[in-house]
Amino acid sequence: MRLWSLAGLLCACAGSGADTGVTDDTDRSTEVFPRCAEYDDLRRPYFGDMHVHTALSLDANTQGTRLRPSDAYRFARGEAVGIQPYTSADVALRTVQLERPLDFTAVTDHAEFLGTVALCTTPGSPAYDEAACVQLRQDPQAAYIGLNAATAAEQGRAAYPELCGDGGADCLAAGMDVWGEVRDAAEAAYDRTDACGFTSFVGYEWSGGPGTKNLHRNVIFRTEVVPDTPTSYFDESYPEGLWDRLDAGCLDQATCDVITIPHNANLSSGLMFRDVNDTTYPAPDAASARRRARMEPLVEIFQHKGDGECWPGSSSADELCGFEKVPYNTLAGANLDLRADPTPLDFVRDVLGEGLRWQSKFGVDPYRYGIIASTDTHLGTPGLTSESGFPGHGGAGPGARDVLPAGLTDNPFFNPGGLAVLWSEENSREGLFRAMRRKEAYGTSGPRLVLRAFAGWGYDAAMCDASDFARQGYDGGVPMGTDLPAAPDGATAPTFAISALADAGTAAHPGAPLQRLQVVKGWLDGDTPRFKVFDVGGDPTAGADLDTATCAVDGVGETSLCSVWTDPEFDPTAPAFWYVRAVEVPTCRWTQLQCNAANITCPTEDSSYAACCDADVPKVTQERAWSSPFWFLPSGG
Amino acid sequence: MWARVKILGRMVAVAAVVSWVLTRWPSSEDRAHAPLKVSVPVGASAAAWDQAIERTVLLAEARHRGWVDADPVIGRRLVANLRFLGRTGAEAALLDEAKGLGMDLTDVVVTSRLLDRMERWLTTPPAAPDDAALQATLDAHAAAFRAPDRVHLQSVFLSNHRDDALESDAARLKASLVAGGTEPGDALLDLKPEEDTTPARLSARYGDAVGDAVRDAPIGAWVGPVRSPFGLHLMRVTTRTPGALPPLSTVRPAVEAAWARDHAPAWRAERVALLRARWPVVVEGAP
Repeated sequence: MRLWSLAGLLCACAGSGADTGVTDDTDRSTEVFPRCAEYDDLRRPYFGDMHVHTALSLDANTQGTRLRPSDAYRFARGEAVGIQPYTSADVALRTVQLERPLDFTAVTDHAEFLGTVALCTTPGSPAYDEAACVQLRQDPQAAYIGLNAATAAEQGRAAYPELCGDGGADCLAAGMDVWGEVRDAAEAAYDRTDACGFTSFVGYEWSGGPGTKNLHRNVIFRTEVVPDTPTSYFDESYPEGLWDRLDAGCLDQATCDVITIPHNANLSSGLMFRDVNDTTYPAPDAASARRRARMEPLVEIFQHKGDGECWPGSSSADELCGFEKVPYNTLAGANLDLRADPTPLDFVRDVLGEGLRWQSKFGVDPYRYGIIASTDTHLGTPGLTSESGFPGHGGAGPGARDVLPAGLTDNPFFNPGGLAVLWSEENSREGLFRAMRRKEAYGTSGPRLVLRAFAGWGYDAAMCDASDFARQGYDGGVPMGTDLPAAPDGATAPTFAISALADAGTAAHPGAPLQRLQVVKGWLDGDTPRFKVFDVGGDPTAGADLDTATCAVDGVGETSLCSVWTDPEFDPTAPAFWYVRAVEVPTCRWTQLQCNAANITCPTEDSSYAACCDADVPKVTQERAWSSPFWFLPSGG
Repeated sequence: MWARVKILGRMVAVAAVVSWVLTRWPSSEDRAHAPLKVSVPVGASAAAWDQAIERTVLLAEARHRGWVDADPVIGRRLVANLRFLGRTGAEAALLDEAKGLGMDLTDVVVTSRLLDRMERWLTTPPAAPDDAALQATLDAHAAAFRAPDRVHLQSVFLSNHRDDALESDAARLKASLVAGGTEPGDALLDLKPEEDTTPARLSARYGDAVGDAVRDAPIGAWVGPVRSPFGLHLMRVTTRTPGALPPLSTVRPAVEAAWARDHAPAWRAERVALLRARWPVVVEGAP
C-alpha cells in the first residue's frame, strides 16, 4: 500500500518532462525505504539546518568556538551546550539549548582549512609551530585574516597556505583525520532505529571566494558513502571543478549520491550566478546548464548574513524586499563593514528570472532552484534562530573568544538565521534526500511556519475547508518545486492551492500570527524577465502598528491562512514561475529586544549600543517562509 | 656427516637459549628503566611537578617505542633542523646525529608530536568492546537512547474562525463524541483525523498544551478541549506504545562512541600510573 501510494506521488511529481537534466537516482541509496515508524504517504514537514560550522572551521575556531561536530548534533537533538567565552578553567560562560529539537542537520565545516585548523591546534603536528599557526593560537583574528586570504585568491590561482607543506600534503593528511571525525559524528548522531528521531547528513562547505565574492557551496551526501576527502577551493577553484571531483569521487560510484547547495548569494557581487550573455569562463552552453541543474536542486535563500530573495532596488516593486538586507556585497565587506550595494543576480528572484532566459536560449534552465534557508552558525549551534536571547552566530560578526563583548551580540545587520523545511514521508536520509532532489522544500527566516502549496489547472476553492487538502493537492496537480503538468483541454490559467500555519511557538516564546500570503510571479517578456507580487490571503495592514517600546504582539493577524488562487494575468505563451511567501505580522528584531533590555534611550553615548539609535538598523522584522517555485513552460518547454 | 649433526645440534641449543632468554626478557611494556631526570623550576607547584614528571615519562616511553624513527614527520623535522645548522649528508646519518644530540627530546615540534601520539594511545580502547560492554553502556544511557512513546491519536479540531461560538461548539462536539458520535470538526492543514505520532511532535507543531494533554491522556477517553494558537483540540488516544530501548545492533556506532567517552579517563589514568611505575624519575630543581 505504501509503495503503491509512493509510486503515485512520484508520478504526480514528475512534471511536464522539461529538460532539466535531473534524474531521480533512487537506486543510489544504501538504505531501505521506507523504514520509519512515522511514515506518511502525504508527507510531513521536517525542520532542519543544512549550514553549520563547528570548531573545525577556521573562522569559527578563531572566534573561540570549541563545539565539534558531535556537539553540534547533540545540540540539534535538544541537549544544552556551553559556548564561548570560557573561563581559565574551561567553563563555558554561556549555555544555549533549543526549545524544540531539530529533525535533521548537516554539519558543513569549511573544507579549506579542515586540515589547517587541526595542524595548528594539535600539538605535535608538522605545522604546529609555523608562524601562521602560532599566530592562529595567539592572535586568532589576525591569523584568520591572513590565512583566509587564501580563499580570496583569484580563480585558477588558489593554493594551499605555505604551512600545509608541499602541495598541501600536510593539511590534506590532517584533513583526512578530521573528515573521519565529521563522518563518525554524523553516523553516531543518525537515528537508524525505526523511531527515526533525528537525521544527520555528512557534508562540508566548499568555500571559494575570489576577491571575497562569495561562491560558497554546501556539499551534502545522501548516505554514509562519501569520497575519501572533501574538495576545497585550493583543490578546485571553480564550481565546475568541484562537480568534476564529485562526479569522479561520488556519482561515478554506484551507491554514492550528492548535491551542492549555493550559499545565500547576497555577498557574491554577481559571481554566484551568471548572466546568460556572460561569455567568460565557463562558456554558457546547454551542457553546463544541465549539469548545474543536476548538481544543484536547491539554493539557500536566507541565513544569518541576510536575506537573498530580492533587492529593494531591483526590477520588481515589492514593499517587503527590504527584509533583513545587509549593506555589503562581499564577504570582506561583511567582515570589515565596507558598505556597498549588491547586484540583481545576487538574489534568488532575479536568478529564477535569469533561468527563464537560459531556458529560452538553450532549452535548459540551470537555475531551476528549490528553496531552503539555514543558519550558517559558526557557534556549532544549528537551528538557534530565535530573535530572543540571540547570542550571535559568529560568522563575520564580533566574536566572544576571550570575553563577552559589551553591547549587541552580533553585527546589527545580521540576524539569527533560518531553517530548511522538507516535505518527506519520513525522517530518514533517504526520505529527506528525495525531498531535496524533487525540491519539495521551503525555507523560513527562523520560525517554524508550515507552508504547503500545490499547483494545477482546476483546484476547487472549497479545498481550504477540506480535511484532505494534501490528498486533493497531489491528486489534482503538483507540489512545490515542480513544473506545472500539461494543461488539460479548456484550461485557461493555473490555480494554486496554498495553506500556511503560524508557528505555534512554545509556552516561553509563543509564535507570532500570520499577516498575509503572497504569490510572487516571474515571467519572460521577450528576453526580459518581469516580476509581480500578488496578495492572495490575509491582511497587509495587520500588526502594522507594533509598539517597539514593548514589542508586544497584540493578537492581530491569523494563525492559519489558506487560499485557492488563479493567476489572473496568465499568458500561455510566456515561460513563468511562481513561488509563495507566507509573512508574519511585524515583530521586534533581536537588536531591538537587546536595546530594550539594556534600557537604551537615543541618542546614546554607549558605543556598544550605537546601533540602537542608527536609522539604518531596522527595529522591526517580518519573519516569513518562501516556498520552492512552480514553473510553466509553453508547450511543455 | 657426524660433524654436521653436531653443528646443527649446537645451533638448535643456541636457538633454544636465545628463545628462552627472549621469552623471559621484560618487554617494553613491563621492563623497569634507569631513572629519568626531570627539571622543575624552584618553587613550582605540586601540579607543575606532576605535569613535568608525566611529560618526561611520556616522552621517554614514546622514544622507547621507536616512534622517533617510525614517524616520517619527525624524521623530516630533525633532518631539517641539522641542515639549517649547515650539516650535510644522508638523511639517515643526520637523523642519527640529531638523536645523539637529544633533539628528539628537546625540539618543540617533535616533542609535541610525540606527546600527542602518546595522548591518543593513552585513551585508545584496550580492545574492541564486546556486546556485553556495549549493552551495559546502552543500559546506562537508556534515557538518551530510548525511543519516545508513540500514540495512535484521533483528533477533532475547531478553528478560531468560529469566533464566539468556539467554546460552545467544542462543548457540544465533545458531548457528542463521548456519546459515540462522529464529528468532522474543521480542517487544519496537515492535522489528520487519525494518525500515529508522538507527544513531542504534537508539542512542536501545535504547542506544548496539545502535546502535554496527549502525553497524559487515558486510553480511550476523549480529552479537551485543549487550546492551541489555532483553535481547540478534542483528542482521544486509542493506543499508546511505550518507547523501548532499541536493540544494540541498530545504535551500535552511537553506543560505541558513548562507551569510549565513558572509559577514556580511566584508561588514561591507569596507563599513566603504569608508565610512571616503570620509569623512575629523579627531580631536579631548576635554577
